Amino acid sequence: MRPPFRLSIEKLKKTYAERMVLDIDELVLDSGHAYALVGPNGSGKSTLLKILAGAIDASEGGVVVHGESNPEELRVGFMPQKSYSFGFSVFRNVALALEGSGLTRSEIGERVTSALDIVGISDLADARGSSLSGGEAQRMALARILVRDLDVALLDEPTASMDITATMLVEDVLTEYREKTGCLLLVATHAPSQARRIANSIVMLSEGKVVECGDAQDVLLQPTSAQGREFLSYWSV
Amino acid sequence: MNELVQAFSLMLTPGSELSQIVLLTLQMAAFSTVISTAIGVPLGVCVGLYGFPGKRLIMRLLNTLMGLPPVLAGLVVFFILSRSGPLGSLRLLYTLPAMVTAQVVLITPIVCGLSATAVSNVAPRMHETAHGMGLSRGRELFMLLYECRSQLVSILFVAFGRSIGEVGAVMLVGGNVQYKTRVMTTAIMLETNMGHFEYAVALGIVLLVISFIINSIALSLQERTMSPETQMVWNHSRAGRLGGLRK
Ligand SMILES: Nc1ncnc2c1ncn2[C@@H]1O[C@H](COP(=O)(O)OP(=O)(O)OP(=O)(O)O)[C@@H](O)[C@H]1O
Ligand SMILES: [Mg+2]
Repeated sequence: MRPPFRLSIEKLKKTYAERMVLDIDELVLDSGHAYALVGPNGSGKSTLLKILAGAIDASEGGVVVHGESNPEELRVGFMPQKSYSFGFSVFRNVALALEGSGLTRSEIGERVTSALDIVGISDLADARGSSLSGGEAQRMALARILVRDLDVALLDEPTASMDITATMLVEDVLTEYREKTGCLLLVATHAPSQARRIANSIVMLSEGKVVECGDAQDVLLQPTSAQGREFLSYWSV
Repeated sequence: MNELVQAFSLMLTPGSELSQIVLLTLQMAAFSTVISTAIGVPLGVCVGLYGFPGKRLIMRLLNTLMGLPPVLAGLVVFFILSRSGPLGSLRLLYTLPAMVTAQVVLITPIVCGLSATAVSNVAPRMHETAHGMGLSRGRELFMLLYECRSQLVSILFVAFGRSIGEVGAVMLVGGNVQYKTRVMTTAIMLETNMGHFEYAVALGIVLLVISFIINSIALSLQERTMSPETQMVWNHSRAGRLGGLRK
């Protein structure tokens, strides 16, 4: 486990064709914590995750890492809202995430097998990745996160296509994973119950701005902003 | 009919003029394909992969060049290689290299445009996932090409097909010189003009057979690399209708 670190997002802006889709003045995320990222469609959740993952560049500002002398060394994993499944086997799809990890073949094999088992698709190990159902593909994408020892895990609506059993399972698995690795977990979600079950803290975006940020219970019970109150009024917690 | 058989037996005789024509044609097509894909695929991958200023212009230019009339490509190469042209001193006009050059001018934009399209269909969907899995840039590129392999293979065969069936440009810069630059298409034109229909037809049939073989190889390669769901889409292409109906 890595010593604690802190990500501090400062003056982060993202524009698409002159349209500001993300405008975060300040947001602090601590390792070992689990954050639920909530907000209406188009509020910028995926954009924020993609920027943190380094998959796209911010237009202005960025992330500062405190408590870690070599930020390049932080192992960051990202599960996109729509993951890509390669045309080869599910097993290889997941093993690909361990390439260059320095693990031996048999270690990789063990990890992949156990990750597939955890997400409940071990019987599909030899199936073609691109032929999976929506929920199965999402389970596979999650397995790609679970096989790695991450410092930062960014998940974009990881259970959106999953059935209720799988959803409950995944919520437990994620909590376990965070406790085991001590990673920073940031999960975008539309489900209030999920936010409550997996996260200590809630970050709410509205039109690209952070409108609520704090302890999960506090935010859910006493939102401070008008947008927060409106959005949460539909959430029967 | 007898004459047709005669034409065929002549073609299969090693060292005959006809067999020499077939051989030269294959040579020309092979060179053109290899060179135009060697230039066009990497270029197309870059264009499809990266956003840069002027990309739209390049795509538009590529699309225009993809529809370039062969005679025009021939004309340009002719001027460049003609005695008074910039490369006239090389004395390449009316040689195999001249024909290959014209073909490369013609086919490279096609290869480039098709590879750009193939890559840009997959790359954006794959990028976030590959990046999120911690794959290096180089590895991501490799995986991208791997995922596009069946399209890339078919592009190769499109190039070969274009090349083997080309007349205008080849006629212009090759000159249809006997034993030197006469290929199947130009030979067919000549034989037809001279009234030797049986030779023309025999050559045409051979051209067809070669095309058929090439296409079969391409298809079987594609089938092997195509994912099951793509094949399924191909089988059921009655778009906009209710499926699974029973009488
Ligand atoms: N590549 C892009 N080009 C232009 N606009 C984009 C692009 N990507 C996202 N946007 C816009 O940015 C805004 C934020 O998008 P984002 O995907 O971050 O929303 P989200 O909060 O994840 O929504 P959802 O709950 O639907 O997943 C949206 O209005 C979207 O249209
Ligand atoms: Mg999203």
